[in-house]
Amino acid sequence: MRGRSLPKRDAGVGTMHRFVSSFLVPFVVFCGLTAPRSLSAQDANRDALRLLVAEPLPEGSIGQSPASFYSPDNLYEYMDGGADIFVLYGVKTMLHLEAKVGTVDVTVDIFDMGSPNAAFGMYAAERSPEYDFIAMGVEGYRNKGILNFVQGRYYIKLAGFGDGADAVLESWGKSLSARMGSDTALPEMLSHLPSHHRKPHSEQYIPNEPLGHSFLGPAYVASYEFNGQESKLIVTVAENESNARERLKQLGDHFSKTGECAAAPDIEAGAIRGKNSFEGTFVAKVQGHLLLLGLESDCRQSTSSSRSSRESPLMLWRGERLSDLEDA
Amino acid sequence: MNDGSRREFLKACALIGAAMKLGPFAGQEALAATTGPALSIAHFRSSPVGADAIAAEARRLTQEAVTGLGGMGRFVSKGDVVWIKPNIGWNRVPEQAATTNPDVVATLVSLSYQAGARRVIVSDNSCNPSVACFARSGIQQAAQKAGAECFTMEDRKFRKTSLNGKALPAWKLYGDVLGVNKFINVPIVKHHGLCKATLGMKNLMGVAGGQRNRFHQDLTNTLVDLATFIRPTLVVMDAIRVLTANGPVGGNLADVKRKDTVAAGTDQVAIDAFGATLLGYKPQEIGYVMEGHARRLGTVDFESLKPRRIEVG
Repeated sequence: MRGRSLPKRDAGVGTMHRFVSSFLVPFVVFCGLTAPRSLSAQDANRDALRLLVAEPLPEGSIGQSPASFYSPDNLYEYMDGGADIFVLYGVKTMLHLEAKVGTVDVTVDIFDMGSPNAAFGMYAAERSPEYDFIAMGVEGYRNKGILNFVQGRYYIKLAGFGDGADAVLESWGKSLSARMGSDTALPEMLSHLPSHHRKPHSEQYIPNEPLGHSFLGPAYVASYEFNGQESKLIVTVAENESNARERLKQLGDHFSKTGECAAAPDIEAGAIRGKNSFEGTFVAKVQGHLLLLGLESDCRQSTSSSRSSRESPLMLWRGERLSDLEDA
Repeated sequence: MNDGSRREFLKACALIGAAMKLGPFAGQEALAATTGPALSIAHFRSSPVGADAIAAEARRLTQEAVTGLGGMGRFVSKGDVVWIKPNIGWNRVPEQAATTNPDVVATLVSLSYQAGARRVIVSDNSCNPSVACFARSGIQQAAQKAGAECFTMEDRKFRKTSLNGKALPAWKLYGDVLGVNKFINVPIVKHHGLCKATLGMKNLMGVAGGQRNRFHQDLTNTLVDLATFIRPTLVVMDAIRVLTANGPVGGNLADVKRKDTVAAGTDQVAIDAFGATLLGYKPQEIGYVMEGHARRLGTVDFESLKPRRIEVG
């Protein structure tokens, strides 16, 4: 083509040329600047996931077909209504692999959630404190035919069928955990929550609408047990102290409308307490950029005479135990 | 018109009206279907242990629940082609309670043939890879052993169908389903992360194709649109094992509870309302149950139907 003369343009071609130069070229350039970037991020996620299930597979497992991948756009094809919550927690990519070890069929699902917070949050949304927990990754549990754990930005769900499946799953879990590296700590904020009276395996990270309120998200949540009574500590991460105070006000307004709310100077200047019939009794205060909310949901014995004793577990959260939260 | 003939006329109108409520799959034979109870609940007094004992329990409860409505002959006639729609959505074994109990399905196949069915087909549009789901759930083997045709759905057979719904003007439904004359919906009761409970109306998503994730933008209306269009001849609800958390996928046996119950009914809303209670919900908490009630597809007040309760074992 080099050196070949171009044909004479007619008026229509000139119009087309102007269209190409004034609109199409910038459009293509714009697409070139944006699409490849997101594509390459997706590719990088997939490559990282692919490495986790590279040969050799644990226990001499044989992959039944190449790993398949799902994105937030098509995850429903694999898990239908179960996909929504993963999308809500920000899933980036999911790897699915079917493998066989002798007569045992293994299903490997690895969800790349994009961050340790999101991965832990998604894992915690599906686990119950009553499960059979194991030391794997940040935290994990198993039951007959399943083994789930979280590590770093990954949430791993293994399922096995056939005699000896549980041993095969454990081997798979250990292998994947080793390949994922050493990121086995809880999200930092959770490690700063008071440990006294904390219910084991009750920690959660909820990015959107904790307790159904958008002004409380994102938040870290943990359950506490005092004398057989369960309470929750919700730590909302605001943009700054002013935003945290705005959220405290929204919380107070909500309880004022649905029940009652008042200042709680005995806890701290600016703190509030209140209750309603469906969410329970709460105390809340601002600490730096954090909104701290203690909530006791069982208000069946809600009488003024028992008020101070009911609030006592919530009162434990004031003071030094929360002092290091702001650094998290 | 004298009093006698007027009474007969009103009775005929009522029967025809009730038959129309049973939907296109019920057809004219539905006239007979209106004469029996609308809801039957069979419960096993104990929770048998072991695969064989649970299989026997499932067969017995299914038989009793259908008998409680007057028997399968009320719904299936000689020469009928029957589509049985269990939940085969997940690559799970029956113990994990994500899919319908295979012995409930097999019993319905047998009862349909005994009632004179010419063909009985068992299928579902799985969420997980379908070949694995059909095998792992035990449904394919059990259904085929009972004489049913049991196959995975083919993409090419979904066809755009006008539903005239609130949320779904039209959608791709499985063409073969639209060709049968009896449809038995056989859901399992389980938790669902988005709509709280997967019950009968939710199970109807398994005859739909296309991008079903779009349903979740307005799940309540979508499910009622589907239920309004399909109107099963009969709903048989498996609640022998119930998945109480992490549904619809499940997998952890710690989330599975025994309820040892099979319910059968002709009122889609009522049977779903009953199913919701097995998960600890008030029927009013389930959006599509209330929408179905509001659209007069059935009643949320299932007790008003005076369900026939059968204790077994």
